[in-house]
Amino acid sequence: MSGAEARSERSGHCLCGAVRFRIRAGERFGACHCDHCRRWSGSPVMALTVAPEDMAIEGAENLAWYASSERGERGWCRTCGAHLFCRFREPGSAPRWEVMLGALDDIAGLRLVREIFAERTLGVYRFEGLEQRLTLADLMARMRGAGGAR
Amino acid sequence: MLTKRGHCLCGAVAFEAEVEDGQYGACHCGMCRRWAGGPFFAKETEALGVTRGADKIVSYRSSDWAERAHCAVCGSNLWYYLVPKQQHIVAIGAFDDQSDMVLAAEIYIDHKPGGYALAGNLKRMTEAEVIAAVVPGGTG
Repeated sequence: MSGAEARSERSGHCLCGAVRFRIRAGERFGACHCDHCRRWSGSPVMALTVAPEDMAIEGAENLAWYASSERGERGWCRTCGAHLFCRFREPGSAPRWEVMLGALDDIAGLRLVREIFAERTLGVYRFEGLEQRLTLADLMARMRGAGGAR
Repeated sequence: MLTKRGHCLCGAVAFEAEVEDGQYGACHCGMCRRWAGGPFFAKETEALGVTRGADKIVSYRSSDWAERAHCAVCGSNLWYYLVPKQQHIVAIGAFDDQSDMVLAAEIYIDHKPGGYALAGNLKRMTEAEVIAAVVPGGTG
């Protein structure tokens, strides 16, 4: 997340319209192929990182949340089931939300640059043109390199 | 024909399904993307039985001909149900064993936004081509 990245305002909503939101975020998004994400969405999860203070939600009472780990929760519309958000609290980093790409009204200008848990695609699908493909082993090596987490 | 088991993220809902083969598709239509958060990877089934948690399934009627089902506890997408054909088109991530499954096609490719693209030699169909293929005798 470079500080120089352009940020813009975007809006989004679930399939039935019970939950609506506005965000302010950058233009680069990632994909996650981990077992939890694929089991939850059926597909790789593509999402845009947003700071909690850059999120405004209307109809939040229609959201349901599930804690899929100690660090993260997944949110969806309880009426239509549309996937909207993940929110994370991880040791050593600021709280963050991930907003599902498909929930945004317009993704003009956004682009997929990075994927994580790349080994979990089982080699049967692949995104084009990424700047970064990280496997679980790569992520672990980075954490060790940063002196963190262990 | 393959018999495939599957379940949602929390395990409240489980099912068993018959599928013709391991080839599946990705749908880029606006409703699938809005519902699943991105392209919806799914496989059409020949038969499906819920083996656990039928009371935890929430179905949303998203059009005159389809329902979309998710688990009320964890929110996992389960399937797209084609009402006239009584056919479940199941989220790939819900299958326990995907080692014999492979992405073979993309549909509604003309609805895919820029910003990401799936690579490889996939069968690619536009909305008009999909409709022509499923509606006998035309694009009605």
